[in-house]
Amino acid sequence: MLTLLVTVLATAYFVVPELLTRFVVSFYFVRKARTGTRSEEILRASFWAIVPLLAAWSTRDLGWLKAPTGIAHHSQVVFSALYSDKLFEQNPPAFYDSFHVFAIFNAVLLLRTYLIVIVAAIVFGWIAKSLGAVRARLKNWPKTANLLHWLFMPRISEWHIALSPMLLNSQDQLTVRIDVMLKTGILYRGTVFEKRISANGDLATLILSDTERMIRDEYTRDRTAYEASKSTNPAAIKPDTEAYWRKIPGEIFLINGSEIATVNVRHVRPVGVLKPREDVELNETLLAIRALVNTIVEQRDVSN
Amino acid sequence: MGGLQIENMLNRMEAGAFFNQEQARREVVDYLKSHMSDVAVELEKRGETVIPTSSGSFRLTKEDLVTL
Repeated sequence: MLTLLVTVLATAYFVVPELLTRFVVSFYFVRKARTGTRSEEILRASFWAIVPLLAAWSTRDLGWLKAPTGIAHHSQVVFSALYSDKLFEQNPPAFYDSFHVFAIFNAVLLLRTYLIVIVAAIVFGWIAKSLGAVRARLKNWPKTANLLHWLFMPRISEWHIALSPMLLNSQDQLTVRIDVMLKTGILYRGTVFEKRISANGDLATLILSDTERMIRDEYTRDRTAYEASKSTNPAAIKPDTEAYWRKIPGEIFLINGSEIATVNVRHVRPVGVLKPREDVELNETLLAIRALVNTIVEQRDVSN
Repeated sequence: MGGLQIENMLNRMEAGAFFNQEQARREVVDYLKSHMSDVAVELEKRGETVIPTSSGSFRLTKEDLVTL
């Protein structure tokens, strides 16, 4: 029974906080898959167990759910009785009374520890999620920014860093678009909708929205023809790559990570950041496009 | 993913966060003028288009034409 109690307590105090941390931060970012040495793993688990436990212990008499007093005596009774049947049989009611206090004390301490772990993990996750904005604010404090970098970067999957807007300091304004080249030579582009990282840290699957496929054969043919003719025909028009993209019908497009050869990440800003109203030429150009769009809509409506 | 250096990635992203507004405006105007009909068709069809410039890409939506 003593071994069982020690195992339960060790799990509750040392294993659960680490698991709880992993669970909470998984809502904010994808953790880097890494297997440290045994001492690194123990150190990491100890940090997430001991620091919150110390905080819970030092605040055990504050606020609601105060821990019962006299825990040293009750613990002694419980462990002695579990260690020796003879001691237990001497005074069973004393054991049950002490066990009751011991259980309440541990429940209160664990509850406080878990709450501290959850709050710390939420803060950790929130900072990691908005690391770009936090780093931008800390531009005048490079040492603090470097400390954050040291604290957070090794813990986050490289794929998550590359494919999410977490490092951007204006996530509302910038969106992440990617070009994905498959090993078969097919080129896709779109917006990252979802990604899954495998246990060994590789990109397992990538789901894109607003996906387009490039007709590379046609583009290569036209580009080759252009290159061949441009010296003799000055009027030859260079093929526009934008004309060779074809929208893929469907809401989301799934790509198997093992089929990906290269990924090109682009951060796209809205035209609004250029303040078109302050630039006469840009404003007039947008108005001309607006008129053209309206004409297309009217022509379509008439033909319908 | 072995060759991907996070620090380099951060530096490139931060460098890209700052751009010359005048130059970007110039390039956007040039692009829009030379691709006006294509841009209008794409806006009508898809509701948005992406304008490539040396300062990065800019997204123009159909709503932008009304609100900007």
